[in-house]
Amino acid sequence: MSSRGFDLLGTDECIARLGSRSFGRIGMKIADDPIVLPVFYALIDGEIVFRTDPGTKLIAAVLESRVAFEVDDLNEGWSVLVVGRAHEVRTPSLVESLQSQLDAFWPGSERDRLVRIEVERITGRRLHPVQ
Amino acid sequence: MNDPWLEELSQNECMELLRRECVGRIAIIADQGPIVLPVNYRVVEAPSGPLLAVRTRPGNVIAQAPESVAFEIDAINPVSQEGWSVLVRGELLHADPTSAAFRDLYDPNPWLADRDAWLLIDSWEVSGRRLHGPDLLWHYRPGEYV
Repeated sequence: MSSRGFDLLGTDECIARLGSRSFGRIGMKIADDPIVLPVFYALIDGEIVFRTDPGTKLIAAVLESRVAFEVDDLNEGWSVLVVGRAHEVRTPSLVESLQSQLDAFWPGSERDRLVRIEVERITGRRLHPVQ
Repeated sequence: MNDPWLEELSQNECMELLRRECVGRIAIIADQGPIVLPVNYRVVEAPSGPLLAVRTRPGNVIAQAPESVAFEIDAINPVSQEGWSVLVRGELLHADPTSAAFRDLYDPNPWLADRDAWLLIDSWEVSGRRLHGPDLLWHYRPGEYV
């Protein structure tokens, strides 16, 4: 059995790792219960941006509330946790710009709505290598 | 070209995936709001049904979490946009750490030292999805041509 310690990652390191990935998990509160769901995302201008279908409980639950966002690589042994507030992107020019940037990662549909997470706190940790 | 689509996994498929993996992510509502953290876990076959056993450091944020938790495992390839995820929603129970029998049987073999708080997740909902990538991507797989 291997028991290992971990190092905390600095803020810049956390942001770099968040920006190097495109798949993470959003944690939020629905009624009084937590829920965690996988999403594809992009880090654009320091904010996490992802698409969601209109009318889902996801969009109702996350908007204007505090959410968690997690990215990890369990093979490399690190994880990054973001805590922040989720907002819907409504300004048409901004929607258009973000949609085109997201299309570079994966194609979406025109019905999609955009959610951005304003990062309030970012922390990360890296496991010590197996000895 | 079709958009990526989701297929619901059966309960058996979800449990099979939960039994196969050993690291997941737990979501709890902490004082400041929700947080999500990776944890080692193992499925424990209790008489009342399967439970997820999680080991953590005593007194940390997970050990002090309110009862209601969510737990997630996944394997998704962001390039092909294919993979699966399983979501468990349930209650967090504290197990007796002095029970040697429990420790011998159910040690989730933590990757980190001093993980001596024992927690069990008793699920009230288990669901899973398989994500199928866009059809377009099939054209780029050499294997599909032979």
